[in-house]
Amino acid sequence: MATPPRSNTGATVSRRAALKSLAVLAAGVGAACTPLRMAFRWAPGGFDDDQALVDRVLRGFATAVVPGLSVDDPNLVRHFYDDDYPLAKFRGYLASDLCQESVNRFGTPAFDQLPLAQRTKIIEGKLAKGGVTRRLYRGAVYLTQIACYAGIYDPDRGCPLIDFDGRRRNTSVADSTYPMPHRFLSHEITSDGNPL
Amino acid sequence: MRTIKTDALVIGSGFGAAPPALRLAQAGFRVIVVEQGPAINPYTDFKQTQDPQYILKYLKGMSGDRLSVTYAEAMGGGSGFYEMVSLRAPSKVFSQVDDRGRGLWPRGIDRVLLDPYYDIADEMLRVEQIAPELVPKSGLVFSLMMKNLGYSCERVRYAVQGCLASGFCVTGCVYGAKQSLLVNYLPQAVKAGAAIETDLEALTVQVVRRFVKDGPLNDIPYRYEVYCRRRTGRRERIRFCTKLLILAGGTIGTAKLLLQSRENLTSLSTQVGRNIAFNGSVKAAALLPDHFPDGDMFAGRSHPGMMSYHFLESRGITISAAKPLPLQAVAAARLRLDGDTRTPSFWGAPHVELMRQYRRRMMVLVAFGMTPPLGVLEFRGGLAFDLQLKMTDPLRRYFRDTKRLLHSILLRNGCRLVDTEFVKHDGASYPDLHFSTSHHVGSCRMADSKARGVCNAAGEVFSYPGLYVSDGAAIPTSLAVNTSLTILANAERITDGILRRYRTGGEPVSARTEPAASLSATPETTRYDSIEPAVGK
Repeated sequence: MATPPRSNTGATVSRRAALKSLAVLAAGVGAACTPLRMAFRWAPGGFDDDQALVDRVLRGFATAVVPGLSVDDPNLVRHFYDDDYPLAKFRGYLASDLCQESVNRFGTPAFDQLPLAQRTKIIEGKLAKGGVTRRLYRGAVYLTQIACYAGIYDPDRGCPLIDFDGRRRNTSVADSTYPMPHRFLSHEITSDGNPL
Repeated sequence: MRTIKTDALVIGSGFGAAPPALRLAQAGFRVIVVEQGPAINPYTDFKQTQDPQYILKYLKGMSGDRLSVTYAEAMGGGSGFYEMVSLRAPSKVFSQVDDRGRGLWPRGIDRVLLDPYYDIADEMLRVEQIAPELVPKSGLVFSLMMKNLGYSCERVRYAVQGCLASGFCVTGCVYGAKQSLLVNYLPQAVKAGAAIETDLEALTVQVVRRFVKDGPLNDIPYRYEVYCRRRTGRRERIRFCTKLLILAGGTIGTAKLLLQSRENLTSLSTQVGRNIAFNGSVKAAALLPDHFPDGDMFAGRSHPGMMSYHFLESRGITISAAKPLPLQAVAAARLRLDGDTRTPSFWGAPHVELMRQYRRRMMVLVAFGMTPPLGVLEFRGGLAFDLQLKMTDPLRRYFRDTKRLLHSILLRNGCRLVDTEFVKHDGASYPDLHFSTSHHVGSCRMADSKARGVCNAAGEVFSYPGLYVSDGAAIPTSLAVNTSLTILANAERITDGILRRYRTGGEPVSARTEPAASLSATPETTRYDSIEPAVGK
């Protein structure tokens, strides 16, 4: 017969109490694994080796964050590969986490194949979580919006989705204003624009 | 370590540094300008891009929970990247008082005193009021809103010649139309004999001889040493020995340098790093109603051309429209339609719906106000600093009332409000009311006594003759308008005093004097790329 475990105080504890303690410990380790896995950039399921898979999943993510973008846009997920930004270290983990959640919620690992509404649900659920998970997803949403709307990788093109036409070499003042501007102007209280 | 001796060492190369660099060189003194940011050739280095890596090369930030500031680290300081708005501070600004009723500006400094120096700054930067036919669409729509409500609205003054309305003022004007310091003061200073050293960071200041008999600069010994480190290559270290030391590294940079030097400058005022004013920037956004014409966030100069002083007397605020480019809009705030209960609303399809309307149908209003100087920069040792804002009930009331006014203007014009939740650099929300600005001033403010400020009305640091602060750090209060022209004019005034004192060995000038004739403006445009920086060559 096994010796009953002892608590820190030396008192004998029941088997049930010991199992309960272990469960709490396991949960703690499980929770701690998220940052741990992120710290070591460990992504299960072959994500570290399969760049095409990671790319597909991240494209599914980006088109859920900014619906309307073309999934084939060459710059769509470039920010996840850009070492100037922190997410480059975590793209494998992010992709594997999205697929795992896809399994949990919808029974398939193919996150990128899910309809927009289901991909949105998954991201929404991750943003609603606490701690590191929320930080990771919030950062990924934030950087995806910046990269796409500001057209950071293609200054000539900008972002057609929001009519941002990027770099302008051939501009005219006439395009930027209205004819007969006095229709718009209110009364002025200064003679030269300087406050009194 | 190399040692270089000079008559005047100017730390920084922005609006507070350019006048002493130019005027002292013109007067025949040996002048060296030390800039920690990179050199810029305004004709080849600027880009029309929203790439954060390009922008972060020049623009830096510092954030606390309640206050974040943006500033430039580059040759020319913020002048390469600002919106060119060049306005004089309202007279009312100079009568601001602290909570005990004491004036925040030193006695004698007011708009009347500064006006002749503003004239010089205006000429140097070729400042002009925008013509009605050049006002961008968003500015015209803002003016129409004010007109509908019977509020006055002014056409703003800008430092620009031949603007082509490309909309990228804030990433640097690729056409050379912006009259930044890179096309006037700095090249003229170099032409007059000043040397500009870039990528060189001032680390500490030491006193060599604190009190010497006043007289012409030629008769004065070297009084200060500044230890610098190159930020590029082999991190070369240089020791500068100087007779005059002029600190103009910006509100944050100047305070940092003095705080890092406190062990050597033991008689410094305890006010260093305190009393940072932040121009009470409050923002609001909305979608225009159908009956309004389109604005345009992306075309036309970065500032929309119009500003209202209607509430200056009653509330101490000015109101203008703003035209953030996509990066500035998305990186700074989560936008969502007010009352939109859909989840998610700051990303996904609802957010795209909103962003599709951003360019032509969104109006962003910004109020600047005379909020008290409650910001504090604290030195935590090493290279660590904290930026804090003492939140007070009056400040919360100011924010709430100003936001309410902006919303009222938008709503009475039939707009639908857009919630703007400002976020940190990782996209997280701020835990409390948050102010952000690039108009921060006052960390080493001018004052009538050492107990209340860091330098006197002449810009000279209390207890340290020959050590001056001539930049935004010296400006004691919020200005309720963009700060660049006032910093420049005040730097002209401080330089005027330095010249009067050290060229002839005379006494410090009283506040009430006319600018010396030698300060006449020479608004010729000089190409920087024709001039070689000279130190150590």
